[in-house]
Amino acid sequence: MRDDFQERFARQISLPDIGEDGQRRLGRATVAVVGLGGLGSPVALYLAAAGVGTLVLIDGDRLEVSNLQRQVLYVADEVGQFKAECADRRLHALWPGLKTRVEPQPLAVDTASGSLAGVDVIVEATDRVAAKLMTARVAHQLGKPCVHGGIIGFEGQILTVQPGRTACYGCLWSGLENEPARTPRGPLGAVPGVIGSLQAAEAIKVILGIGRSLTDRLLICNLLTMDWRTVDVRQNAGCAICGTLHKI
Amino acid sequence: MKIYLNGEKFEGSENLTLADLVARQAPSDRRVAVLHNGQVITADRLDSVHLAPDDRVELVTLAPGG
Ligand SMILES: [Zn+2]
Repeated sequence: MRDDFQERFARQISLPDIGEDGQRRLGRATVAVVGLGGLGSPVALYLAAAGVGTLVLIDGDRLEVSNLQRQVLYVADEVGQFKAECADRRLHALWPGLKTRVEPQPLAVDTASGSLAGVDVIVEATDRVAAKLMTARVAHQLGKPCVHGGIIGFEGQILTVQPGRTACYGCLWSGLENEPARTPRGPLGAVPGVIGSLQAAEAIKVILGIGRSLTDRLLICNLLTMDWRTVDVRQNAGCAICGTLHKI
Repeated sequence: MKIYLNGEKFEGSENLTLADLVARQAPSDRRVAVLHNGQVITADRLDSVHLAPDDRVELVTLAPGG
């Protein structure tokens, strides 16, 4: 097993910022992937491939044929099955040492503390603003770092949150909890591929405490123009999740 | 007066308020967040913010998909 570990992760261990210690730290880490669609697919694949020890796979949806254009975790034969269960099979095939907790239901406020027990980092990869805000609220309440991703058309955005210390998703978007979902246009499948891959990198950086995270700055990537930029975001005192104005 | 709108130079008139600028660029859409030098400004406060030279204004469109 040790030989397999050394051989499998040789390229990461060779990175000075990771090394053997960092690789072992990844192996002890638990990451929750909330949403296993276009974003969650590359997130889960890259975290499992990187040797993250435990993944909590949370998604209540069954695979539909229209998902296959972008949700690269799955194959056509799996249409109709729970994504969380398909993901579990696929990720174990990739990294047999992986441990998983499989939750084929959406994250819910009243059960979230159980679902997220022992989790070091949450990767939010849901496809509705209400679910994004709920995940942000739960992450804040439980004091867990959260890496948010979102996509629209050819554009994607990422924000990493250190609870209570940096701007949260609600600092930008609280108030939209009851916003009706619009029928999505797109995305081009490669857009969640890029954004989800970046979320996986952010989660690994948070686990290892390396580099500079996308905290207090939102990364906006437009794949049509290939304009990428970061926008400074400060904590909002009026935020319904982390703000100080409402708490009396 | 030169400000930065979505990261690019923008020539604005003196006494320009955030409300004026936003009305021109993104007529009231709850799915656009307005940031003034990194601070989120809610819709009810847009007309109280008077822009100064070199201010950075960002209009960020919600990306709800996954
Ligand atoms: Zn907040």
